[in-house]
Amino acid sequence: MTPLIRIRNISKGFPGVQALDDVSFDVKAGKIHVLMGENGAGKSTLMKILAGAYQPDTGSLEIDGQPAQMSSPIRARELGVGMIYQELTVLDNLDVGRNIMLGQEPVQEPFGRMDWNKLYQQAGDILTSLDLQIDPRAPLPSLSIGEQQMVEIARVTLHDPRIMIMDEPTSSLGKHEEEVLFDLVRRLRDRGVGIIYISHRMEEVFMLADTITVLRDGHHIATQPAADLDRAELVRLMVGRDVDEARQQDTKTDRGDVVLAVENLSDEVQLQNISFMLHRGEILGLAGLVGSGRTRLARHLFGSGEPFTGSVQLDGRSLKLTHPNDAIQSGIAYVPEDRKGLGLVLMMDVGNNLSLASLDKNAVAGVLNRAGMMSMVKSWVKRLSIRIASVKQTVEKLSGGNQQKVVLAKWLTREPRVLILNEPTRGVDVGAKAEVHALIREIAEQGVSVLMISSELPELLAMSDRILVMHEGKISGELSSTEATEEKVVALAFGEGEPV
Amino acid sequence: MTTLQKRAEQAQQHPVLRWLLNPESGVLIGIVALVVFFSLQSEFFFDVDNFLNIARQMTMLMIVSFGMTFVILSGEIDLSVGTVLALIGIFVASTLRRDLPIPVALAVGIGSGALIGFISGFITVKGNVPSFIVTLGIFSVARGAAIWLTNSRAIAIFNDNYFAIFADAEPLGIPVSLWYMVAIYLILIFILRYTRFGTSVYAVGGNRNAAELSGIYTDRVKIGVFVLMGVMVGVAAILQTARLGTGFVEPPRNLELDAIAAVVLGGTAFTGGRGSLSKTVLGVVLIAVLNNGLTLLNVQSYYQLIIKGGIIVLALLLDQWLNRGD
Repeated sequence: MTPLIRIRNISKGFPGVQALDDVSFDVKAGKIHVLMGENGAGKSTLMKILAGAYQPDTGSLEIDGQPAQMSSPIRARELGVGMIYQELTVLDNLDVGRNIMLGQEPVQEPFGRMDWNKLYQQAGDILTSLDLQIDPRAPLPSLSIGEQQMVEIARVTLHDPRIMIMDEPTSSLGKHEEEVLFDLVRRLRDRGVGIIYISHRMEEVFMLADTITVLRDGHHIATQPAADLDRAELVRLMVGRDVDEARQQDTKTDRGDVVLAVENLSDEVQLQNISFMLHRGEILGLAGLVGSGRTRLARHLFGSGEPFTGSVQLDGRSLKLTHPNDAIQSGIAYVPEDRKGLGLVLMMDVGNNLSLASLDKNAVAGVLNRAGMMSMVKSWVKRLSIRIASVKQTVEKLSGGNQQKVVLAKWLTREPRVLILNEPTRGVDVGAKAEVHALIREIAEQGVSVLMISSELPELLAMSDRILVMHEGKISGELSSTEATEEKVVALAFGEGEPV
Repeated sequence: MTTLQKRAEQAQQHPVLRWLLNPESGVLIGIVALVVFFSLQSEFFFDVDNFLNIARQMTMLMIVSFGMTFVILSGEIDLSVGTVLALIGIFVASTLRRDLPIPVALAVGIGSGALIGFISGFITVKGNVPSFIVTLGIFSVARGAAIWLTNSRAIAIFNDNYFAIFADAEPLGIPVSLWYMVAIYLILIFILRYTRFGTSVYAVGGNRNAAELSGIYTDRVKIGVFVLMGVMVGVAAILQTARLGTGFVEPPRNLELDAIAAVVLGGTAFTGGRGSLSKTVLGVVLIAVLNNGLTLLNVQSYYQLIIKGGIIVLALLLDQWLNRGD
């Protein structure tokens, strides 16, 4: 039987990364084909190529054995590819029918007037064909998130797709809504639609999948019938590396005193009963998939998130964290994951950015000691060997590595007790990355406690004295540096209680 | 890249050309060109007395534009300055009419300005409403309040000391309002460059999230900026009532638009975070010279408005074009 889609030797590179390297596999009609892999494995890039949003560097696609050129999203749709994104793309201000028929509204002559009756009738037909009990005239905000997602799917089925790509469609759904979605997905499959389903959740993968493909670091690792795989094997395929590279030499086993103690931290959105301790001079890694709640936790600890319950103690003193300044005054510093959006004021110069978190230390009654600030800035620029022409240079045009050093220096000026790092080497080139790593170790040796979030497992394993793993808002496990392996971290990150 | 842009880039390599192409010098060149043009066209223009006259006329706009510079730097806007200025003028005039001492009148003027600014800032920040809308509302409220309180009658002042201190005195032969203007400029320059508040204004306007994550209370900074704007409007209202001898219900025409134009002409980014007070000075001078010269040439006021609007838009287009590379 000719496969529905044949993906042949697809490669795609971006500056600094080979996102996909010679990936080939087939997807059959009437099957649910799950695509799995860690963060950065290349899943999203591949989906975007199938949906015509990216063009591959090399390789080709075939549909029903015919070469298919997905030159644009519109062309991909014409060829029968439908895409459901992780985030809802339905419009709040339109009703269900208008959302479904958006851009395909039926018109009547003369003058191309909208044919409202026909519009709602067609939308209703589509909803009925999917066994959905949704009124096409209902305003969108009156629907639950799950129902809105159904509307999204109905909109895609309007084009009668032969291939439906779904990118983590359950990430915002409750348990019951998930069931409804799974039913719908199975119905589409039984109609002969080929479904490519991206997921991070083991349970649903084994519930739904007919076939599973694993990607890792842009490579195709395996495509196998789901029945031939078990969870342990799947984790092994996703991680794959059997070497623990660059393991930190002198792992500290004798921990210092407890500096930060977090107890039963919960919020109404995601986090549940997070408890852990951070010791003096320790580098505590925080692993987990994107969306597992790591950044949320970091923001709570820095006083910049929503309200939360539970206690945070620093040196045995309870902290009240309602604004970043509360955290800063207590000795907590935070390097956010989005350097340009959250870490820097791009149009300001290096000097002003570097001193922005320590204005209070350089001011008497609100009046700044500019000369003192300047010498402080210059000494930090020198200490971190930040490569700039002048401290009056705007940070906007610095390299990623130098920008990140400016952000780090901004916090080091405060001599923090606790340094929270969120993806400290994202978008930083290899050389600067090593410098940042060395700097983090040096800081920790001086007694600063470091909480480091990173999606790069090798980095996390190499740097951390201990690793906490998060899964869906909870801490799913803790690993010492001696026992931590990529397999164990990934298993915990995917919610597998039993480390393999 | 077009040939023109390429040329503009090459030109920026040359120091003299780079200075000329700098938006700040662009306004300066505009001012010089206007001075030359008006001097050739009118025998009354190039004259010390006329220049002092220009200075006296622009005091109000200058002080309001200083406040507007802070507001725009912080990423906000204030459309209410014209009617608020008229309302504060009425407060000040009424206070003096009751034979209360001058310091009380000053406290009323500056205090009411600060309070109105606080209200605008508080609603903007805590209510999460765009300042464009909030101050548009305040604009209307202040106008209505002024008419209601006065029945549209002007309130004349009979306090010669007041006129002397705020309008007529000429220390060293220079109109006293000019001294106030310079003093305020120096104070504000100090605030902007040498205080935490000043640096915070730039940071909040440049990237509010990054500023907040650096421990800056961005809400307070924004409210502070509106309070400062209100104080400036209060000061301008005091000088204006002294100059006119009366509290008028009618707001100075287009004050808010001229102030915004002056700030932006000076090169301050409309989106916040970049700009300076000295640039605003040039923007105000350009508008003041234009107003004065066109009046001396007996240009009809509707032509004046058209010419002024055209020049402002042209200047901004030029600025946009020169800065596209950034």
